[in-house]
Amino acid sequence: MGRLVLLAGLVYGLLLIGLATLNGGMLALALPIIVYLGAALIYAPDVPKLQITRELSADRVQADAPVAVKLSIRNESGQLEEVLVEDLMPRGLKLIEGQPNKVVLLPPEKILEITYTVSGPRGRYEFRQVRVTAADHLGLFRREVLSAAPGSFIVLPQVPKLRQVMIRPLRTRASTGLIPARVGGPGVEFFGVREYQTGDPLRWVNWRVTARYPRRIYSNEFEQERVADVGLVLDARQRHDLQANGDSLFEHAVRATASLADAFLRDGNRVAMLTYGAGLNWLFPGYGRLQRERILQALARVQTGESEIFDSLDYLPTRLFPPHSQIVIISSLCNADLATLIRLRAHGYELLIISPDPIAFEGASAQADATLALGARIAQRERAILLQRLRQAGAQIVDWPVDKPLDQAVLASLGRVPKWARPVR
Amino acid sequence: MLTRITYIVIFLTALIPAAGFALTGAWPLALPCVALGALWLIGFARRLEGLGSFMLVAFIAAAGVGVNLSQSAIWAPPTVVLALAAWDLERFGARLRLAEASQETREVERRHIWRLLAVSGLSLALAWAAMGSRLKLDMAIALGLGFLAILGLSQVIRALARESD
Repeated sequence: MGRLVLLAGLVYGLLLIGLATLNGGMLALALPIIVYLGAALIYAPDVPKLQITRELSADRVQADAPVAVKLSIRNESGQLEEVLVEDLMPRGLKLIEGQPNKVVLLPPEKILEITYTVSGPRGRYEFRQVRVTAADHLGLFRREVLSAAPGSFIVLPQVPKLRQVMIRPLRTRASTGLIPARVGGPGVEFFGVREYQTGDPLRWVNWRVTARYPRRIYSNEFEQERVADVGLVLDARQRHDLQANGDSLFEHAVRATASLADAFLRDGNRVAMLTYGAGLNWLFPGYGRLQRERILQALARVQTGESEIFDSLDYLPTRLFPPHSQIVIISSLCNADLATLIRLRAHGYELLIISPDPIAFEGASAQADATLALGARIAQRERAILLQRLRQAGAQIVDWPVDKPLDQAVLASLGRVPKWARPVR
Repeated sequence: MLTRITYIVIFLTALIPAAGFALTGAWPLALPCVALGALWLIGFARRLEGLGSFMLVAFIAAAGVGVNLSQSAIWAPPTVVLALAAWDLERFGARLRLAEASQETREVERRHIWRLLAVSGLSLALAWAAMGSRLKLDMAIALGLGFLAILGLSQVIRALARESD
């Protein structure tokens, strides 16, 4: 439009000056501009009518994996002399190969293909529209249309492998698993001694005890191992989303949640997930690969958020979790969370807290400074006191500096629960 | 290819009025044309936005000055035509840079250059023919025709503006 105004202004100017000075030469100079305008008008494009289809090479990928995007554009209108086709990419995607734009001549019924490759971090990416601008060859007249060309793909979070995470909820489910169930029966770990029952294998007979009681035979009993209900709670409150050196503490928490879900589901447990931030997002409990996929897709979409209601953990909906089940909380924690977590323990839930260390995370990027160092030490002491009080309340804590793999931190903190620490029903 | 052609057209846009002024002895007008041309070449190389429009106005003004100084300034129409062409090619090059270079893009480039050549040739011929013809008109008729021309042009421009997005 600006170019049209400029040319119109020049024509008017030359005509007015020519008339004012009665100089025919000035009027002659306006002729090239008038011819240029006339040519543009004659070849002005119609409103483009296009049929656009989109194909994506995958609808779910791992982080930073490439996804090829292919657009097919069919011209259902007349000849389009100069068409700029721009595929409007969602924010956050990085272009790896090719270009999402093309300038072409598009005769009627011709099909144009645009192919390019993108990648991106965790999240859901939706393609909505393609902008098509048709112009005449001299570029004075433009017709712009936004055509719908939907498509989406999801980038799942990385799932670092985790070895078995030792948990001991008070209540287990009926199916066989890997969690000691505090009940005697077939198993591996010695549980106790009972009277011999018909059918017990000979190798179970406890000869030492039997020798003390001449008229009776006693067998060893083993602790059954079963699956359990595990509830994962990911803290997605904005205050825990610390950023430093292009890294995000929340992303580590998301990956940790993915690893834990993978580990628990692999062992046959029933796993549910709750994200707690701007609102509550609850995933019903489930088993196996399907549940793993649901959890990973939910984690791909999760974002931190701020809410006055969910600012503290007071509104954690504990009714969603089966009584006496295992709750795993992935959170950096703050002092205000202590009361709620102790209440959870009082209700009979087994608590495992995976806590990414925010002080170590920020301290690594902060410049060496006496005041900062003092502040960091005070914050570390406060955190140590908080974690100690949680341990005293009976929660298992994994204090995790995120520069180390989670596997190491879990093994170091949890390892194997000693016999004397295992309560027996 | 397009970039090379644009450089050549900008060079000629500056050279022709400079030569025209120099041949009529108007050196104080020739040197600014050379300076403007050099500025335009540098600005194009650095992809400065908006410079093309300013230079178009400047060189058309130079052509107008030339016509005012001498009725037989036959270099004036080519100056306007070349300035228009350079302005157009600059914009076209910027538009092509938005997209990936491909066989289709080269086809668009080729057709654009041919279209511009045809329009430039026709407008140059018409402008020269107009400069060469002499019509004797009364002042009133001339003013009336001029007024009609401006009125008509306003309508056309308004219609064109409505057509475009």
